Amino acid sequence: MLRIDQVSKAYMAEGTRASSALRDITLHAEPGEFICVVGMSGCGKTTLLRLVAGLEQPSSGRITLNSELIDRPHPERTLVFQEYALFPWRTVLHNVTFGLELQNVGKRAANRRGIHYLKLVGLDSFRHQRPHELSGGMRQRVALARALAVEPEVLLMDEPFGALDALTRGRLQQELAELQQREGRTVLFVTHSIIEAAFLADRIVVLHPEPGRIGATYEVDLPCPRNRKSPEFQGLCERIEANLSPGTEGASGSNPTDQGTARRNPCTI
Amino acid sequence: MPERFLARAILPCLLLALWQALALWIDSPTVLPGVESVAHVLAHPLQPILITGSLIDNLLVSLLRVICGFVLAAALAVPLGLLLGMSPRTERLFESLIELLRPVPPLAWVPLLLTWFGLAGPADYLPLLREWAVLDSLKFSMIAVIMIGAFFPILLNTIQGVRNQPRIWIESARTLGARRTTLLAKVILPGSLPFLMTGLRIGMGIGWMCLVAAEMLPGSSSGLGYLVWYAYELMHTEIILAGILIIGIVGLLMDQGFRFLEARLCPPTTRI
Repeated sequence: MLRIDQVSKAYMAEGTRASSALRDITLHAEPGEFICVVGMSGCGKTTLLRLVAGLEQPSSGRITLNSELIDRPHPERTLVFQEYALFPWRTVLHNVTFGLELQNVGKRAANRRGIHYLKLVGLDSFRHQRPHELSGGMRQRVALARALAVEPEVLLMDEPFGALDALTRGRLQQELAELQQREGRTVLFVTHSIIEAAFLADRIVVLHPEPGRIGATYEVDLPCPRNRKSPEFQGLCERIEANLSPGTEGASGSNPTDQGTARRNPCTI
Repeated sequence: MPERFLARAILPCLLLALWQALALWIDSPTVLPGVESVAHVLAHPLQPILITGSLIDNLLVSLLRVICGFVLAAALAVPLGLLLGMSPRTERLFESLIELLRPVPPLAWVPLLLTWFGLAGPADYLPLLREWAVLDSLKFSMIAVIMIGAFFPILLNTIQGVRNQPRIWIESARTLGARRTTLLAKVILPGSLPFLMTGLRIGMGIGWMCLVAAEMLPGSSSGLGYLVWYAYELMHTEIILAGILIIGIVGLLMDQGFRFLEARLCPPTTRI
C-alpha cells in the first residue's frame, strides 16, 4: 500500500524566499487503485508524482510503499512522462526492455516480456522501428509498455496524454482503462483534464494551488467502461469543476490552520 | 546523384583549366608549374622525393602521428568531458584553467614541447621500432601538438553533449532502475554520442592542421608538412602543390569518414 503522510515540499529559488509547492498532503492508495490527481497548472501535482517516484525528497512528511520509506527511484515505481522520454537511439523493443536489462533479465526472456507488453499496447509489429518513426500516440504507448515491463507495483503517470490530439487522447484513455482492468496496478495519474480523470479513476483527488494542497476527494463508482456522455458522468465532471479552484475559504489556504477546510466536502457518487 | 557530383566537380575542373592556362602563360615552373608536373609527382607516390623519402612515406608518418595524438586526446578528453558534463561542481573547478588554455594556438606550444622532448620519440625507448622508418619518425613533440589541438574540441563537445541531454532521459532511466555506472553506459554516453562524434570530427580536423603546420617548424625531419617546407627551400613548387593537394584530400577523407560514422551510429533525431 502506498502511503503519503503529511508531505510538504518547499523549493528554495535562488535569491527569493522559499516557496512551497505542496503542503500537508495525505493520500493513501490501496493496491490496484487508480487515483487521478487533478488540478490547474502550478498546483504541484507533478511535484507530488516526482516525490512518489523518488526523484525528489519531501521537505517534511514521509512517503512509504508497503511500509518502506521512499527515498530514491526504484523500478517498483515507474513513471510515464508527458513526452520525449523514449531513448531515440534504441528501437521500440529495446526501449521497452531497458528496465529489464538493468535487472539482468536474460536477453531472450527480456525480449519475450518486451514483446508481451508491446502486444498489450498494440505495437508489437513496430518493435524494430525507432521512436522518431512513430506518431505521438504510439510513442506514449511505447512509454507505457516500457513502464509496465518492469512490472512495477505503482505506475505513475504525469499527464501522459497531455501532448496528444483529442482523438488519440480519447483512444488511449480507452486503452488504458481496459489495460488497467487486466493489469490491476496501483496507478497515480496526474492530469489537468477533469474528463480524463472521471473516465479513468477509482478516486479523484483535486489539488488546489499555492501551496498545493488537497481540495476535495471524489470516489468514482461509475461502472466501466464509462460513457462520457452519460448524465452521471457529466454531473460528476461539473461538480469537480466547481471545486477545481479554491473558494473563498480555500483562498486563505496559506494559513496552516486552514487544512480542515481544504479537505472539506469529500463527495461520493 | 550524378547531377550533384557534376555540380561539385565543376569548380575544381575550372580551377584546373585556369591553372594550366596561367602556367603556360607565365612559363616559369618555380612560380607556377603546369598541372602535368604536379600530376607526375602524385602519380609516383612511391618514388623517393628529394631526400625525404617518398610521398607515401611522408604521408604515413603524418597519418601515424595524427592517429596517435588523436587517440590520446580522445582517451583524455572524453572521460573528462563526461565527468565535467555530469558534475557542474567539478566543471567550476576546471573552468578557469580550460578557458585560459583553450585560446592558446596549439603551435605556440611547439617551442616548449621541443625544449622538453627534443627529437625524442617512442623509438628511443623501444629500439625495436627503429626497424621501420615510419615508426622511428613518431616524435613525442609532434604527437603532443596534435593532442593539444584535438583535445579542446573533443572536451567541449562532450561536455555539451552531456549537458544538452533532456533531463527526462536520465530521470526515466533512474525510475527504471539505472544507477551511476549503468546510467553512464546506457544513457549518458549513447545520448551524447552525436555531440561526441562532432567533437571527434572537429578534433581530428584541427589535429591534422596542427600537425602539418608543426612539421614545418624547425626540429622536424619528416612528414607532409616537412616535405612541403623542404620542397620550398629547394624551389620545387610542383612538390609544394602536390603536398598541399594530398594534405587537403586526406583531411577531406577523414572528415567524410567521421560523417559517415556519425550517420551510422546516431539515428536522425539524436543528431544535432
